[in-house]
Amino acid sequence: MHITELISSFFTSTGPGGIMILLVVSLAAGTYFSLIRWILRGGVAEKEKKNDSSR
Amino acid sequence: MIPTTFHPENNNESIILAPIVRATSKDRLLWAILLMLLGIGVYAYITQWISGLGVTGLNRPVYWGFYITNFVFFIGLAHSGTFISAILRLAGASWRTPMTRAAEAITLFSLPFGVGAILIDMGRPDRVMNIFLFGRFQSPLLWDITAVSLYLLSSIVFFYISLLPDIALCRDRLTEVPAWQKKMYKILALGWVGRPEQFIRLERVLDGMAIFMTLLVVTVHTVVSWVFGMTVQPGWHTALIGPFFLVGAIFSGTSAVVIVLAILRRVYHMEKVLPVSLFNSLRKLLIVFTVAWLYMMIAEFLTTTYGAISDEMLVVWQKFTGDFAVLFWIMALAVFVIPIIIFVFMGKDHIGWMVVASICINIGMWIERFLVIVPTETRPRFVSTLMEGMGNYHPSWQEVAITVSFFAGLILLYVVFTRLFPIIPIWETADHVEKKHLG
Repeated sequence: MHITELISSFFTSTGPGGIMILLVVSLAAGTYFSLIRWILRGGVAEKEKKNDSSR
Repeated sequence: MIPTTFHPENNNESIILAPIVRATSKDRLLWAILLMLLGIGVYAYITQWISGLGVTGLNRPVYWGFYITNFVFFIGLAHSGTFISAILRLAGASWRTPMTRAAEAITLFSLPFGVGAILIDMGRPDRVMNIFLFGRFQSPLLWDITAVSLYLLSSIVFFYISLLPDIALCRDRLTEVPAWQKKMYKILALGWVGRPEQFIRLERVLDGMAIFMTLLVVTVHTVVSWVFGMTVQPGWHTALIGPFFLVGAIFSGTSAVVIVLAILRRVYHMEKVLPVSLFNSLRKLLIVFTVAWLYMMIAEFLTTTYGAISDEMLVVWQKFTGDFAVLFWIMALAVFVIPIIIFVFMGKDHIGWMVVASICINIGMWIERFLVIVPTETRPRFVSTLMEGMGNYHPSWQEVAITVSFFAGLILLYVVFTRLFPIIPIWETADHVEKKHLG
């Protein structure tokens, strides 16, 4: 198969579009989950360091 | 003793937290009325589910009526939160802070009804799975679902993370609320303790997300418009349709914010937190949007009528003098003439007038969405193919009931939310000195 036909079939055949929606939404969900975790862990490292040095 | 959780000090905290109490009898009555309207909508949908789309006024070639009008309108309304919160955050407009949450809540509670409108319009909602199973890149519906899903998810996250410090505050301060409510705050606060580094990171994420959300706002409503624009139907197939939809969305969304803020101010006695100056700032924005919307309108009609392509002119005349003329001129009055007179001559320092203008804009914008969709369908390209009796649209009671129930549902979600969470962001409107200390 010619490379242009392959690329064309990716955009014209049924199926890949649905995968794209799931990919985009799940990628965003994963990113947001990590960001929320990152926010909540803010200052934890400093606190642990402080606790270690006071021991 | 040093408290384990730090909350930025806000002099208006008691005013903001006051609405979060046990529901009063007036609340219950309002909820009951809204639930009843919602119930009528559910009943209407059940009759449609059982008998099929034949119970609606939809027919060939008018496939989209009230439902898709609601879809475009509610998605447009949803742009208010992102516009106020994200775009004004990027612009550094600090006056926006008291109203960000009230605006974001409109976004969050409008979007499900926008999405729901599509599912109801499909008749067979299970067919939405076809998009996932057989999605094709050429289909604007695929882009639409991708953009709207991402927007819904991002709006929930953007709303939730900016609410986190205030949920923690509710957890710590509201000791007299019912046990289930306390538990809810505890779970939703995710263990927030208000460390300075948490606030710094939160601000950073909100700034970053604001840029992304701004891009999403533009994308979502442009893609919504492309569902129409990518067809070759008269009135729809124009490059202007994307910006036109976007301006209309931000316009109706911002005026919805004015209505909500005025009600909150009055009902919850928040005069001190939501000053008149806030409404004056919104007034200036709305003047710009009113003129921008008129510019779009003139650009569209001038281009179309100057070209005078016969298919296009049939739709134009339908609006100017035909079946939809009354609606069209009511819309022109409600969206432009009345608001601009009020904003320029009467709106300054008068919240009541601002609300009147904003209600007019929202009624007018709903009609405008209807007029974009239906006249084109009644006079489609190849109008000669229409047979006797085709090309009319009369909404059925099911469509009207479902539309009313959408508005009732939106108000219900909003009212319940204001009774459970602070509708004014406490940490973002906290004292400047305190915030400096945090940073």
